[in-house]
Amino acid sequence: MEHIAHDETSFVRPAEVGEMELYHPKTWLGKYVFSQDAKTIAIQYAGTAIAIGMVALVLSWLMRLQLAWPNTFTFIDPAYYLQAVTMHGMIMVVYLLTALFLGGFGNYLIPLMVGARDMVFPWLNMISFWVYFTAVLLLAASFFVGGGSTGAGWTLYPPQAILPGTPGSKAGILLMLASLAVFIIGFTMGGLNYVVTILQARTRGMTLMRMPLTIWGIFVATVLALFAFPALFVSAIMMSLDVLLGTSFFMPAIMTMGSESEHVGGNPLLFQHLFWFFGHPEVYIVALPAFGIVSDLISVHARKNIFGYRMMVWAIVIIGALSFVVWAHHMYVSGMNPYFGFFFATTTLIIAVPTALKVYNWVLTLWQGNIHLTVPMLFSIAFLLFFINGGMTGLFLGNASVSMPLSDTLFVVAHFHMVMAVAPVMVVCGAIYHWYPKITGRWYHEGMARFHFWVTFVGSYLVFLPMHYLGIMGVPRRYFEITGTTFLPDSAHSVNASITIAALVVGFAQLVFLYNLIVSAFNGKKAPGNPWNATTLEWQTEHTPPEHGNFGKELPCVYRWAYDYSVPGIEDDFIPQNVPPRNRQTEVVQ
Amino acid sequence: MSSIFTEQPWIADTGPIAPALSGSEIALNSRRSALKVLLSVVSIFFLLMIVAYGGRMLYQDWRPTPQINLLWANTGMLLLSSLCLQGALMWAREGRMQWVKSGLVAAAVLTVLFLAGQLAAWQQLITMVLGDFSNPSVGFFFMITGIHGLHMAGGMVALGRAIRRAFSSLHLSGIEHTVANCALYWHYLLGVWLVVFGLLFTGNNFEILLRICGFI
Repeated sequence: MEHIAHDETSFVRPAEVGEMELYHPKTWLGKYVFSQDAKTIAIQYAGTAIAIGMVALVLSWLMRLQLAWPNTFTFIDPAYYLQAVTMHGMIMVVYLLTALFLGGFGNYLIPLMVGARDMVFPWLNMISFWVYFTAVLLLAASFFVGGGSTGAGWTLYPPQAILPGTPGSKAGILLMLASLAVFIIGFTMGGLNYVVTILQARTRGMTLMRMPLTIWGIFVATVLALFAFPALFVSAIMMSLDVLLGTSFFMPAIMTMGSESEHVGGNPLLFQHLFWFFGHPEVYIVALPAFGIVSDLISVHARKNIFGYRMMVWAIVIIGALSFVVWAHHMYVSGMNPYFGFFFATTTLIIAVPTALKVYNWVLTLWQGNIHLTVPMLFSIAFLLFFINGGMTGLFLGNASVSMPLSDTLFVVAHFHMVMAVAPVMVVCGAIYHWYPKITGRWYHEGMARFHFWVTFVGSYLVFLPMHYLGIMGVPRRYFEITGTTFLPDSAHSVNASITIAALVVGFAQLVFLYNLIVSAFNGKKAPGNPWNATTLEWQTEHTPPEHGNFGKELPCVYRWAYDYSVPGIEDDFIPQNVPPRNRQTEVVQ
Repeated sequence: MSSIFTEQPWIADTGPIAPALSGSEIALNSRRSALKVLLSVVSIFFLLMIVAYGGRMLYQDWRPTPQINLLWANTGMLLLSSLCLQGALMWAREGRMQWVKSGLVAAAVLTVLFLAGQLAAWQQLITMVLGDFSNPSVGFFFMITGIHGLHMAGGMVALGRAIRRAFSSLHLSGIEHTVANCALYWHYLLGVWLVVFGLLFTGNNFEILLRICGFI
């Protein structure tokens, strides 16, 4: 047995990475509000995203209450219900998950994990957050304008999105479009930073193929977002012009409220193509960082190197590329040439190959691993279960002929919540628990964390598994109420009620989660610098939480990949990335 | 780059590691890289608008935008401003500071003229269509030229900073990189404009292209 210590022998020269000029704040405002430190910006992103996410959570409760006990809650009318559906969807997908994964985890982890002092453009990074914050304010403002927020559904399809019968068809939709445009501008600033930092500010020895999969996931998701968001931006501008100037990009000649609209010759399908050219990669913008993070969580907590690292990297890249050629599987019922349908069904099934490969590799990493059932590991396993479940139903919906009868039913709602809502949220929770000791320097309350896990895990299944059956029965989505129908048995209504109860309980567990995070940050037990015995660079910082500039006087030098766990012949069951090999024989021969 | 295909990351280093970029190098390379990433995002942005334009053209009721001859003069202005920046870059490399300043100022003036010309073209089109924006091709014209103009105006901020820097220092250290970045941005947006102008706003070239490709 050889003990690998932090002694730098003559095999590899010590790090000689040049210093980056850091911004040093002089005022309280500069340090905590308009901070240029990626770690502070990450917390600002996460805090804002979670705050607006809580609003979306409450909206989901209101929807569920209405569905379970129609005509009981008089303040929920059809318009209010549609507004809740729309805002819940858009907030959760764009303002919570995208912002949290890329703005939150991206900002915190990229510089630390690649061994950089900060993002390469700290000022731009700060501006990026404040632009995002403005977008959130614009979105929130739409709750308070005349007519309320838009009720067009999160896909905002014209013509109905801007016709008088739809809630929020004036100020509401305009604020939503403005908010999205501002969000995209802010994200582009942040995205440039993430991409360039990963490509150019990696420390010595951190080759691309030594980067932790977390960084690969965030990197490819950022590239996807940079290329996909312009489609949403273009469609937001075009729809705004249709509302404001009376152009007819998307608006056909139409009779509305008994009179002819001013529009002629627009094409609503054009919007759908543009929207889904953004919308499908968006699924992977959320999923890829989750894939990357969960790979690292599984590896660390199973004390085993990730199975098939290179395959995992290439799967991320291939999924990212393929995600741009599957968008029209969201439009099977919009009317399209059957050959197009065949093409998009085929590409959709092809994308399942690298995705399945990743699932196999996660399972094979767990196989015969030294599995520690820590809270992050529990959430990682839960992610696998939800993701496999949601992925399987994706096979149904990816095939045009099977998708058509299921389209616009709760089956679709159950599918996408399983695969791109609950599954990534499992990773978000696991990741927050995993990095919490590093971010705050303290431990979370273990009991509350486990309570949070079990209630969320079991509760989410109770919410979304029965929803598949309701969908197969033909229960439509986005309907204010489904009473008075003859094709649904009473049991369908009972299931609806039980789903609502489960949703309320799961929501309550999230409040416990937030309470735990906030209280433990002040009162939690002090955590050591590397409590999980992890190999990646963020755990090797001199201070916990890491100070401005991340690392001590010298940046670390990387000698190995991020997955040296349980290396045969080595006493410790992990070797950090910045530990040099003592000699060739020690590592290779033993 | 090829190492990402062949590297076996599970094998630890046992020899010297290639030097990394140092502080100032990171800053210089980063700006250039960020600009290239930004330009690729801009490309997608304009590409999508062109595709949307083409998609809309396929319908029977398509009515093209009236031709505006002023756009030819505007194109000339943008071309000249791009050439001035290329000249400024060349002179910066040769160390001829006075010429660099002249090149930058000339480029800025020509760009302002281009933007003013675009506004005049807008005015002409508004008069031609009598304020009726319901024709999609008119909507596309305003949107695409407007967004291109906004990109040029954004570039003027960077060009303004380059000019201030050129006039405030006597030596050329660092200015070459700034001018090079401005030149790249201008050339690129000139390219975008030439594609947009040639394909969409002059003659019926896009229609011919769509016919050749078998879409019409």
